[in-house]
Amino acid sequence: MRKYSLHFLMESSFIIAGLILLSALIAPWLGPYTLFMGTQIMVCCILALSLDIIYGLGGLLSLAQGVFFGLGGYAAAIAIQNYNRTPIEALLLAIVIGATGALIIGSFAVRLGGPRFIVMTMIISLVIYFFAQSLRNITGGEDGIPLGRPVKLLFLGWQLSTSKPLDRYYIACGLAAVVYAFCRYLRRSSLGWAVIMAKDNPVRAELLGYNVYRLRLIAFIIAGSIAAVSGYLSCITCRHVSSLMFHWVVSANPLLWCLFGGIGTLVGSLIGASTLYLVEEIISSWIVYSEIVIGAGLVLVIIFLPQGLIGLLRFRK
Amino acid sequence: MLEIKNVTKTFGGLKALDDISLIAEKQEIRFIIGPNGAGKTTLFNIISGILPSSHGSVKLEGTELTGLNVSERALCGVGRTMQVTSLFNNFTVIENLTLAVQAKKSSYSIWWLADRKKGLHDETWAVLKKLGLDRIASKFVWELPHGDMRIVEIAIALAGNPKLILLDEPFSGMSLGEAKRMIEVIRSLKNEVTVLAIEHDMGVVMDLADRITVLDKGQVVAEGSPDEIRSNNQVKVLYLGE
Repeated sequence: MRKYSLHFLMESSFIIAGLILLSALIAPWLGPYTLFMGTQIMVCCILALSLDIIYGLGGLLSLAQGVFFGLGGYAAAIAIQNYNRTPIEALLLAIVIGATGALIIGSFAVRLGGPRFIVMTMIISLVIYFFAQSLRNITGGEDGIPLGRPVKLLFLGWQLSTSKPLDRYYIACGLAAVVYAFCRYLRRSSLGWAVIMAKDNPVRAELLGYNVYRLRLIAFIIAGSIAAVSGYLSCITCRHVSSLMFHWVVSANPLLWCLFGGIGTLVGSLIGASTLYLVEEIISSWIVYSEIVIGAGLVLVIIFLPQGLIGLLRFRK
Repeated sequence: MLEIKNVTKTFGGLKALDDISLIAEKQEIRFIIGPNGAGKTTLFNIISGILPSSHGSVKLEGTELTGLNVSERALCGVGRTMQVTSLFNNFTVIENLTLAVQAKKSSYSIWWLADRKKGLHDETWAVLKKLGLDRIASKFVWELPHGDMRIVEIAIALAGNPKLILLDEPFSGMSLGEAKRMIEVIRSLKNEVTVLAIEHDMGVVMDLADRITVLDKGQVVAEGSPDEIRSNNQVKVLYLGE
C-alpha cells in the first residue's frame, strides 16, 4: 500500500487498457502465428494473476495452480463436447469446478501454512497429475481430447468463432482484461485489504477479530477459480485438453512469471508472463539450449531486481 | 467485569502460572506488576487466547471465554496491544483503523471498496480524534515515531468498542514527552473500558492504577489500591527492593 507503488499502479491501469486496445486494433494485420502467441500469452497472464492473488496478496505459495488450470480446462471440454453447452455455461462450470477443487484442497492445506503448505500443494499437484495420466478413458492421457467443433460466442451481436485465430485472440484479450479488472477490484476491496493484512501480520489480524484461516481459504478459492478460467481459455482457444495441463510445470511457471515481473503487484505478473513467454519463444528459435539462457536471466533478475522488472519502473519517479 | 478463576499454565514441568484468580471491576484501570518471569505476559496470552490455559477459566462480563480462539475472543470484546508494537506497517494510520473497525463489524467483502464505506469512516475518525491521531491519519505506520506507533496500537485495539483492553508495557521505550501523552491516553480510557496493563515504571503505575495486582513466580502475591501496595511489606521486599 506504499504511496509510490499505488500511484504507479493507478497509472498502469490506463497503460494496460491502452496496450490492450492498441493490440486489438493492430490484430487484424497480424499473422496467425503471432495471434496464436498473443492468445497463449493471455492464458499465461490469467494463470499468473491467479498465483499473484494467493501468493502476492495472500502470502501462500501455492504449487497447485496447475490442478485448477486442468480442472477448468476439462470442465469446459466436457461441458462443450459431451453436454453441448454454450461457452458461457462452460465458463461458469469451469469457475465452479475450480472453486470447489480449491475449497476441498484448501480446507486442509491452508491450515498448514508456511513451508508445509508449499509441500502439501506440490504433493497434491503431483498426485492429481498421475491420477489424470492413469484415467485415460476420461482424460485421454497425454494425447488428450480434441474439441470436435469450434465454439461460437455471441458478444453484443458480434459473432466470434474459435476456428478463427483473430477471434480467438479477441476472446482471450477480453477474458484477460475482465480477470485483471476483477483482481484489481479485489485488491482494493475491504476483503482484499483483510487478505493482505493477514499476510503482513497474522497475529495482529487475529487479535482484531479476523479469522485468518478463513481469509486465506477465500483467497485460495478465488485464486483457484481464476486458474480455472485460464484453463477454460486454453481449452477453447487450443480446442484441445490433455492430462499435461495438470503437470507440475504448469504450477511452477506462474511463480517464475510473478517473480520475474514483480510479486504482489498484479501488473507485474502480466509483465512477467508476457515477457518470459516471448523471450522463450524467440530464444528457442535461435538456440538449442534456450532454457539455460532463460534460467541465467531469471537468476540475474532475482538477484539484482528483488522486486522484479516492475522494481525498475517504480523508483524512477 | 473480568473474572479469572484458578488459571494454571504449565510449560513442560515449569509452572508459569499457578492457580491465579483475579477479578477486575467494570471500567477500572488495573495494573499488573511483578519481576521478570512472574507470568504477566503469559496471563495476557491466556486472556487473549494466544495460549490455551492448562486449567481454569476466564469470563468477561458473563461470557465464558475459555475454549474460544483469538479472533472469537476479539469479537467478544477483548482488545490487546503487544510488548513489541504490532501493526500493519505498510498501511496508513487511517487504513489500520479501518481494518480494525471492519473486523469488529464483520463487514468486509469483495463488493465494497475498503476506503469508501461511510459507516466505518465515521467510527474510524471518532477513535482517531479521541486519541489525537487525526493529524497523522494519512501517514504510513512505518514512518511514525515510536510513541505514535504505540498510541496507534491502542487506537486499533479500541476500535469497535471492546469491553476489555490489555496493554502490555505501553510505556516501554518511550521518551519523557511520549510517556506524558500515553498517561493522558490511558487516563482517558477510565470509565469507558476495563483496562488491564503490565508496567514496570512504578511512578506511572501508582499514578494511573485504580488497583494493582502483584505477581511473582506465577502466583498472586498481593492485591490492592496503590496505597495498600506501597505499604505492603512483602511487595517492598520482592519488588521495590527494600
